[in-house]
Amino acid sequence: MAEREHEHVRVVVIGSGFGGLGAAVRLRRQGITDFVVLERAGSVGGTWRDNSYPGCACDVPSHLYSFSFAPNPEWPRNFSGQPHIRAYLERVTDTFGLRPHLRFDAEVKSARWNTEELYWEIETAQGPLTADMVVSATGPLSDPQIPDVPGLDSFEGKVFHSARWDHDYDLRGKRVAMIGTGASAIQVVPAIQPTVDRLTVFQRTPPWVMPRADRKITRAEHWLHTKVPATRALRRQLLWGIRELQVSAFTKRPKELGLVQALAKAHMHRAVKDPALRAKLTPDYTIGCKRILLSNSYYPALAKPNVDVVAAGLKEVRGNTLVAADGTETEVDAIIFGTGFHVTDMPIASRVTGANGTTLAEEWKDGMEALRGSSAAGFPNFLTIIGPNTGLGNSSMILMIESQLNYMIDYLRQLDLLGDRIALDARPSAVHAWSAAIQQRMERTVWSTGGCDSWYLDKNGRNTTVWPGTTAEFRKVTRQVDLAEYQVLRAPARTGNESTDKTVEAAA
Amino acid sequence: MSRPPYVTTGRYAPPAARRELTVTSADGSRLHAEVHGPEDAPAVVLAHGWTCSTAFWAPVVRLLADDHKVVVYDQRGHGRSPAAGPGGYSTDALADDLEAVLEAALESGERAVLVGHSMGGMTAMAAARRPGMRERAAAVLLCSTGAADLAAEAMVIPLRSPGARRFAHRAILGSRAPLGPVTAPGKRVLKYATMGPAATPEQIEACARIVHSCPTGVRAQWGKALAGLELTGEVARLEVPTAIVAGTADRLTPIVLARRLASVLPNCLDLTELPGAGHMTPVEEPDAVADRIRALVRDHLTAAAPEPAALAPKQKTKARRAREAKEKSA
Repeated sequence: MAEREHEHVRVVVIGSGFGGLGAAVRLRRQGITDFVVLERAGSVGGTWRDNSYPGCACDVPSHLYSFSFAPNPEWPRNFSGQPHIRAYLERVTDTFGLRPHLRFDAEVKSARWNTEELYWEIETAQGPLTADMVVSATGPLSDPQIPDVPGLDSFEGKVFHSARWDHDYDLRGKRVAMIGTGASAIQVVPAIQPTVDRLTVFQRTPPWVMPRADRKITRAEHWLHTKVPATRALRRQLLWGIRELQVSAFTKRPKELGLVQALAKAHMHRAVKDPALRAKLTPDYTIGCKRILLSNSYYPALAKPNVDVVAAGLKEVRGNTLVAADGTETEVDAIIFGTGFHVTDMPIASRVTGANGTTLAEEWKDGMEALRGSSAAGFPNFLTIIGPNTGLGNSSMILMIESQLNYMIDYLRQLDLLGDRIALDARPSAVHAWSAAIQQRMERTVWSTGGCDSWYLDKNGRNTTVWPGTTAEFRKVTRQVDLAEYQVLRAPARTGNESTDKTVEAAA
Repeated sequence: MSRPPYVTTGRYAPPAARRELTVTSADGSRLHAEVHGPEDAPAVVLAHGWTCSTAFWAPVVRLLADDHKVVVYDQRGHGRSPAAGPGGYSTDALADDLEAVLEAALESGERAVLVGHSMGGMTAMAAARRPGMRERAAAVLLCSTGAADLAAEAMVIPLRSPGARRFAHRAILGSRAPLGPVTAPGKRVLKYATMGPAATPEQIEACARIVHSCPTGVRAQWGKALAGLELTGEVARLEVPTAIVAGTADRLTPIVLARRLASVLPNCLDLTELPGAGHMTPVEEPDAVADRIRALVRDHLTAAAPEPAALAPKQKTKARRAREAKEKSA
């Protein structure tokens, strides 16, 4: 058994976005070099590689939306665009020597827990390997969701999702339909409005849009942040602190959001003068219930003469005509879906089979749940980065990722202490208790009481995506693995007496 | 000054030993040990905790000594065992001392049920891989103890942040501040930190006398060792059948530490949670502790013809699978 026929590593990391690259950096820093990062595409960057649509930018300031251990004093803008964020991740990959660990075009086909050997058997597009531990950093915003619209197949024009933008297709002079008004769509609309002939925006539910205090970061600031790193750290702390203070309004006192809502309304009224359009664009739910969007150019773009807003979802496609739920018919040349991602039904979940022979998707069919956002019961040594209830409505996900990476490092430290051929499996009772406590806190949050349906909620209406607390609290509860919440699994002894011979045979 | 470092009357007063011996440990340290009860009875070895002494076990010794050979010893620096030199305070030293006591106080080939309270429990954990332990220990009882993260988990200073708690408790553990004579306020502090709400004045007095007599230097040295404790790996290798007893109102080694032990122990028999008890379980609940020891002696020492070691791991695996299945379905 000692000489294995397949490749074996200590840790397999799935995905090379912020989560996967961050995991790789932390592993190396911990002196763990026996790991690989599996990436289905041909380069790093994850969500920030896939979303290259015009206007794509982050709505968290870059000085906060970056790794604490890889500061960048030279972010070009407050809210940097996708090309800069992607370049940052490429740079992190080089700076921390992650290239040797990367396996590109190595999509994970399946991962199966071997209950005898206590390791994961992973099938990838590049062949099989086994690993003591799997860190799944596939991200919630990685697999685009396109609604099942009748007649879409018969459409003769161009169709694509904002996360799979076709840069070869020239939108100039085209009649374009934008389906959806979420975070991607509101960035796409102002970016393409000047070039297209007509733009029709299909809006099921209007978003609340706040002004975005975006500006170029000056060369003086770059100089200062480079020469005096403490100023950069201070800037980050301020950005963080402000957002921490906002949390209680979302989670405990949604009424406090009234002022914010008034600001958002004024923001819209400034740009949109047409009362009919204003009426269409005014949400009927409390701000914060759905993700608050930031844009200075969205409303002005909608007010342009070549833009129509259809206040209804897309119901049907007949030839080149799009029929909205309210009966409106529009003839277009191209359809762009800004309809989001498979968030509460992560595709990786159906490829992962745990200790009980069931897939993660089957275990999660009534809603995702994982201990401290990381460990699902029955899936030993399997951690999800940005797992259930780790999302944020107002701050940087990198903070959450780094907290989960602390947890990952402590998990590995404890595994090392416990010895060889040992695994940890979250106790179902601990997982249920964790998730019940979260659901209880969820009751008073704006995501539950705000009167909206959002991608934070799963098909049963449970919020299994957002963390109902501050990032500081999450950091605190993930600083250490509590072994009382886990069962320690031990492999049957290999050597020795008769009583164990059978199991050795079975495993061989 | 003439007051002895323990109470002299009642069930908490240490009974006279049948035999006393001086044990020499691996590094030459000398340890005071006592044997109570009939020499040919099943043997029980009791290891006390931080700032305590053999006197701490008095109520348990009284309950067991009629029909057990009860061995107690003073951990180095405590009671009548002299303080160690520099570098003499480590979990390795605890394990050395235990091995030496087992060797000296037990007959050749004689096995015993080993009981450790708090740091005495850590002694048993630290000795997990020692041959002396593997040969001699028929079963282990861990009372009010933990394997790691004491400073962060303790709730004596009830701060919300674990980082702040770790800082505060490290300061307390390593403090050289003298406790002075036993006074009413001193006893209140001791009761708050180490005992449950139901602790009686006699129990508090007994513990206070013992704890206050521990030399400050010894207390600080051991305290420092405990603050940085990491015995999780040893617990995972403690193959002996092991039971756990802990109080639900323990601030010093909160019950979560006992639950972690139960998770990690390869052969954990059970965890008895004593409602309302604090950290001083052998004094607060001597009957519960003594009963658990009796049961361990019965099941693992006197009843057992030599333990069918080959079978044990397999049974354990089966039992665990069954437990998992049960939990899953719940």
